[in-house]
Amino acid sequence: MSTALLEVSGLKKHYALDGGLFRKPTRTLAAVDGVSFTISSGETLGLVGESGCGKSTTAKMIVRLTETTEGSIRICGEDISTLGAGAMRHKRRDVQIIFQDPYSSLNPRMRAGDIVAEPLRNFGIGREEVRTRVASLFDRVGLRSDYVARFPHEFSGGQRQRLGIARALALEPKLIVCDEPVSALDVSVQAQVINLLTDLQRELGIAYLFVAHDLAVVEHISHRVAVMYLGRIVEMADRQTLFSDPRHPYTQALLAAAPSSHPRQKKERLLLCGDAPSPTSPPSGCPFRTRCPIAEPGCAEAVPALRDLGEGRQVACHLR
Amino acid sequence: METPILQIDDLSTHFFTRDGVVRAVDNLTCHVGAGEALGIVGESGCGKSVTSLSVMRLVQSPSGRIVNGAIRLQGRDLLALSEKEMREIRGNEISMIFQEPMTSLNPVLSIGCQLIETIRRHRGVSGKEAWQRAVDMLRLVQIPEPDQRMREYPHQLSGGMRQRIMIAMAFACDPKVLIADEPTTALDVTIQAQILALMSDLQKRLGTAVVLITHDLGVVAETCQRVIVMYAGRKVEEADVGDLFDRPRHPYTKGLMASMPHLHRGLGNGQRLKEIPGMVPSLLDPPPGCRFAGRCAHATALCTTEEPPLTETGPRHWVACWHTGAPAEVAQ
Repeated sequence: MSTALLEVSGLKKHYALDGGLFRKPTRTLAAVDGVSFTISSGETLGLVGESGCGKSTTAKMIVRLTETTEGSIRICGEDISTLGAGAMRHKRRDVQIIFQDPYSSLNPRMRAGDIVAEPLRNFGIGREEVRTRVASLFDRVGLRSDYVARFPHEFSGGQRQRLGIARALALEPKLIVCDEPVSALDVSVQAQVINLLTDLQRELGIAYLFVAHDLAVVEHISHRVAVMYLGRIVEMADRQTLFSDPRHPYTQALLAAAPSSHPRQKKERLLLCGDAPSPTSPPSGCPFRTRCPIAEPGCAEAVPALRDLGEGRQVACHLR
Repeated sequence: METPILQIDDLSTHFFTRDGVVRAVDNLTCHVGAGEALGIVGESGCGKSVTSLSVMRLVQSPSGRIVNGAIRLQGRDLLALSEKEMREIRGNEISMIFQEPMTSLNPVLSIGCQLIETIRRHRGVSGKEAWQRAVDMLRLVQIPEPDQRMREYPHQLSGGMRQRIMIAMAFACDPKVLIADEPTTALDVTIQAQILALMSDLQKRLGTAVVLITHDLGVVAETCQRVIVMYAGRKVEEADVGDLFDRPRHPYTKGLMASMPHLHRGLGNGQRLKEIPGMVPSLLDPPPGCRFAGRCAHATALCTTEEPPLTETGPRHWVACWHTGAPAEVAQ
């Protein structure tokens, strides 16, 4: 597919363990182990999973804050995973990122206006134009334009996240990677930021890779959803298909575990036992088999491939 | 209803800072009965955690002080007790679980050592008996191989496992009241479901009164029988859990419910969430009147001058709002 805005294929990130300065690493940790997906322009792909499943690492590799071990990341057809620093700089116009913690992702010594202006200045935009663009960006994300002279600590959490969004928008990117953008915010403020993100997508046609652990938020904002477990995608489908009829036992368990929105809807739930295994010593075969309610002996033999089940749904399970 | 186990009357906890007085909790009244689970819901800074610290008498002094009110445990006023007497209550009659199980366990002591410390401190039993009791507690919270875990250290355990240890420790002395302050916020959903199920099960089996403090209405729906909604240091609504979700009366409660995306509501993007405009007011010398007035679509002149009293609008349903008389209007 050459029409996809972002095409990730076979993406891997392995970390060497037990290595020292003069010691050879003896083990590897596969944080991301062969992840492939595409995002078209104007589309939101939700990436969900529990902590340690590799969703944030995937997000960081796409903006090349983390180098890839293997695999390709194509933006508009061009592979950026091997670009040099200079060429990558130009590509950064197209892909920006918003971080989870609005407190640590803004430089506390820079004024709000400078934070938003920095990407513009990096691309040689004149002083006057920078000023007008910053003012319109502030206006666009719902911050008062006389706040440009303030420092990050003078803003609330929600306002800081708006500032992060303004900075990401500055270069008019085609794709914004959102790494848990609302999980540090209070519920009432969370809704404001989610609405801002959807408004921006409608007006500017930006695509999002939306990484989150909150299933309700992901269901609300995504067009398609990918579920990750131990470094791999276990299920990927349209939002409606995935949430109304999950096929992978892990997706089913994840949905069942989410707290109900009304006391009368308390569900008899299938509780997963135990914790996710450590990525340093993943189980053989299917990574989910140790917690899977329907696992069979055969599951220990081979890693299930992501298979197409029709209706735009892909599942990695031997038994589905 | 019989007399409540824990009764809080007109509690006000203030922090005296260089910039002025922060009214973190303002005239809060509530109670929990035996075997009941009370949820306290609100956003950051609403005073829910300060309430729990006040009950434990753990408010940071000298800046923080309980300036008014009474906290009674089965009729005994905790605020009148000496620090020494209070130490007999903490971990024994009232115990607490915190959000971050890593920082609330001692990293250099083994799990067994920490469990036994609590049991021996309050029960005065021999080391051997305490060890046995600790192993039983670990078994109760469904920790596999409890004998081996007793010798392990917190860093060797996962987050969910550590929270189970905290629960074991909290229940070790058969407390009358358990205060759980965001017990599952740091955990993944599948682990959260396990921990909530475990807490509810233990609460029912042991008849403990539970105060669950959370920002997540879903967690409340799952585990509590009665809910208090707090906003900017005050109680704005109190009701039975079903009633609150069916008929929220306070504009803030309604706003909170409408602003949460729900699973399987089929909203999908393109549709906007209802948002509450603005943000929580500063608790430094807050303005008179209703503290939600600045963000409320129905605020009138009265709201900005007079504090609305808590009024009973239905059976066991209290609301602090001047405009609950016309709930239909307010809802839209």
